[in-house]
Amino acid sequence: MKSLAILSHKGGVGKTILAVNLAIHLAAEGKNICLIDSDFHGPSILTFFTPKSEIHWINSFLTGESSLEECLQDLSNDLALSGKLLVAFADPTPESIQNVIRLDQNTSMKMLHYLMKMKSMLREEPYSIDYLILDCSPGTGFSTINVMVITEIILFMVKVTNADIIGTSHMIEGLHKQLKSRTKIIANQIPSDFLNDQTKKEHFQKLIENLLKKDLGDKTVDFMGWIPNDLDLYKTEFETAIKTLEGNPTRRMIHTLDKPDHIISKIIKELANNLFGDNN
Amino acid sequence: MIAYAVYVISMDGRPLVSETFQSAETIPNEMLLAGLMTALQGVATELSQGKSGLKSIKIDNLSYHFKSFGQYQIVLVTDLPETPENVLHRLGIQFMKDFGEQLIKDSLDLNTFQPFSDTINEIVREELTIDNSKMIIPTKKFSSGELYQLPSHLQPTALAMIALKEGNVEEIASESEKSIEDTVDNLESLQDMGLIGKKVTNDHVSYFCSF
Ligand SMILES: Nc1ncnc2c1ncn2[C@@H]1O[C@H](COP(=O)(O)OP(=O)(O)O)[C@@H](O)[C@H]1O
Ligand SMILES: [Mg+2]
Repeated sequence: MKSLAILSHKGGVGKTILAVNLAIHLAAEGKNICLIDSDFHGPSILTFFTPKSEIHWINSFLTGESSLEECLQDLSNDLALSGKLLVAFADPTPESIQNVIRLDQNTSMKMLHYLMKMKSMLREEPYSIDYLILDCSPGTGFSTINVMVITEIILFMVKVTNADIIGTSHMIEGLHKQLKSRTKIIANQIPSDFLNDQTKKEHFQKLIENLLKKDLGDKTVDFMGWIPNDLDLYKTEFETAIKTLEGNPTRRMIHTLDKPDHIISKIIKELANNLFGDNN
Repeated sequence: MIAYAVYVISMDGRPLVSETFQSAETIPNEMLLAGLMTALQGVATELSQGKSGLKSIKIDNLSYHFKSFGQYQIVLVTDLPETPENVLHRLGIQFMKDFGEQLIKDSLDLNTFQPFSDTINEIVREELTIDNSKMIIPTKKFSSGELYQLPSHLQPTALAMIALKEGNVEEIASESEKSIEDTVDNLESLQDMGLIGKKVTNDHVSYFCSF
């Protein structure tokens, strides 16, 4: 089993969209996937799916109140995926989010204990998971550090604005000790015309790599590429939101599921190969 | 849950008998007693008014759990804030059986209660964890942030301890994917740092940590 944590400095950069799209793509390829919402401050994986039964939040597994089995929903049949897609949702109620904000060291240790248990359970029958994907909260809270501890691959997502790119550079420096030997970084919401200009692209990639590679010593940061800004996405998401407000059952658009030929789907497939391919 | 000490205290605040499970280096007696006094003040009125027979107070990383039995109360000091009600109950009832009659006498001879320290030992050993190495330090606990402040060769063993919470050398070695020899060395280092304790029950040695 390989495990991936998706991190960022700021919120709203596209972590959840990436996590969901990667998970769906890999499950459609016949791989067994476990997708965990570990953004306890802003749970949102739920908005992409129609959960089956009553939900046991993953929070309750991490505090020892529920079993892992209770917290995992198998959505592969509903979505006609050939591999397994097990999803665990985080509790979005204000009380639960308050609990996570106030998380003390001891509770955080308990969480880490259960995360490690979860990881070893997912490797074995009946789960036999190939890829574990964890969608984290932005920043460096206890819960995100815990997820970093248990995952092999750490992928930072940046939006190329000054606040985020400079912040990400500080974040990576600050987490130096926690980082694995290789850290990955991907840029999201890049204007499409920029991506069509090879010279500009190469120039900018160098600038980013210079910014992020400094002072990392023995550890390296790999730049994994760019995801273009999808101008239609905002409109689609707006329309979905209206439907939800009207009381209709909805789920948000997932590129790799709903638009497999879209440029974003193609880029995500390529990313999956680069992250999890045999050389990695 | 790790037990650090047990006190049986008369309603007027006099210790009748006690048992501590730690060395004075890891938890100084003065620290325990000072905490006990502070905690006692905190619960005195409530317990005497009979409002609640059960109370827990956390001071300096130690949790003091109180249960009142009329003429006396049991105080159990542990690492975690959850109340070990069953242990308090067993200790209290046993004390009543063994010494209930002595308590009503006008003049108390504290030596009478001394044998109860063995009973405390027996009951607590059955129900809770006791650090036989007496090396674990209550103020020093693993945290996911501090894990990485440890020397890197110790990190896999520390992580394995967090995953297992308790285990013998073989289990810890296998969880951390390290050799038995390295694991033994690492466990010793983590013990020296006060981060993990050691439990010996019928020749079976296991290591544990607190969280
Ligand atoms: N490539 C993209 N093109 C257009 N909009 C995007 C793109 N990626 C993300 N977004 C927008 O950003 C919003 C936040 O994305 P999300 O995945 O929830 O971020 P995060 O999980 O990092 O907080 C989305 O709702 C979407 O509107
Ligand atoms: Mg998100």
